[in-house]
Amino acid sequence: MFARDIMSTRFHTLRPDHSIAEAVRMFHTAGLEEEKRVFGLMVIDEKRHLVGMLSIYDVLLFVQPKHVHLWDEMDASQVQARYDELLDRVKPVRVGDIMTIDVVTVSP
Amino acid sequence: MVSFTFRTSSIIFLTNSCEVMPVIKTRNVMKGLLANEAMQRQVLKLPENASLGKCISQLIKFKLNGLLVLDSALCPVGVASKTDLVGAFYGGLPVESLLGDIMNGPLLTCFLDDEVEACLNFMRANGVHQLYVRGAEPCSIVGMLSYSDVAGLLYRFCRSCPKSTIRKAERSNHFSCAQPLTVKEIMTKSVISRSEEDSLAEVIEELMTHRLGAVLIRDAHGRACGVISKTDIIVSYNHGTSLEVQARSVMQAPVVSCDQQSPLTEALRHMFLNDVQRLFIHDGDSGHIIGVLSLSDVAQVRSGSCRACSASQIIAAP
Repeated sequence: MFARDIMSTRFHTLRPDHSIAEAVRMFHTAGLEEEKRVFGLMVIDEKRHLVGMLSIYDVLLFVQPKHVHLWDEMDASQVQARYDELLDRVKPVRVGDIMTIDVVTVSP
Repeated sequence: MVSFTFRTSSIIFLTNSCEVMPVIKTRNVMKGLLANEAMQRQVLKLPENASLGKCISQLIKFKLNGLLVLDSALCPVGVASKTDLVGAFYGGLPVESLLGDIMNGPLLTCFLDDEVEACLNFMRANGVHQLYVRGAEPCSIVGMLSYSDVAGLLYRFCRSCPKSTIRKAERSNHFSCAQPLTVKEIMTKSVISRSEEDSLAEVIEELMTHRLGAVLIRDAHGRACGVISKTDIIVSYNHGTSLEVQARSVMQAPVVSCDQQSPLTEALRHMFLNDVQRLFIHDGDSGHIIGVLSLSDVAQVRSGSCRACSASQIIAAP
């Protein structure tokens, strides 16, 4: 049996110039359409070549504030108010900036 | 977990053969605190032959100012910081270049059992924002100590302090509170700015000449309208942006700022919540910026809210 016998050929992908918000939406759509939890998505360029991989872990690392451990000591109301602002401030960063470029691959 | 105790300065009289000389022993919040207790344990490492693009990606994702560069034997040989990357961008190096070409050495380190106080002085003397912490093995780096870790620690310290201005409301009225430190007293009173029509190259020149982390951007009327930090510059570098684009297209807006009369604790909380390393300070009119407060300024004051613990900062030569 080969990898090609069990691999799936329909999957969702991202582009390096997608924003992080677009990537998060794609994770959500992919999860619904593939009817399973999607933890990682392949990133392809305009020639449909694989250029990297973005996992939900990469997104969480990036979105999490650096001093998140101090947030415990603040009032919940203050913290909630800041989350939207934070997400707004990450706009210039694209999928290509935080994706993993060393992707482990096998031939079919 | 670090526990804090309160210490005050004490004057000890040493009896010399012919005279009595007062020696003021300096004690403050940081006294006795070791690098081991204040450092962060996560250290990013990349080999010398990794690309600059990969380095940028790691720094952005983990929100760090620099990472450790390893040689082929996995021994640390230097540091690649955001400043080095900004320099590479300005110098026209392609993002495919290797880290080994831009890294800085020698590596500045301290040991696990060094006092934070000494580490801070060492960082200040060498003009760096972080120190790597060496472990017992010759090549091992077990952590990193940065100004932002120290500022975070000071904030937690002030939260747990019974004299804290943060907890003023919880206290009974008879307990008088120490004079709170205001932003105005600690901030750097000069602000370096450029116009939103200036090129990115001009912004970088300003940033490198003054060794800054960010430059304020003003509109045609001279009012603050955005900020360009080293992070914004390396993101542009990774996107292949030209050095000739206008500052307006790269800057982050609005400016994260606070009033000069705000207590220091308020400003610190503002910085941690907004995930910024500096706060621009205005005089009541948010378009009129008169100073900057950075996490390194806060770490140098050695206090997060008042003078109760920084009073003992007055050092008398023995």
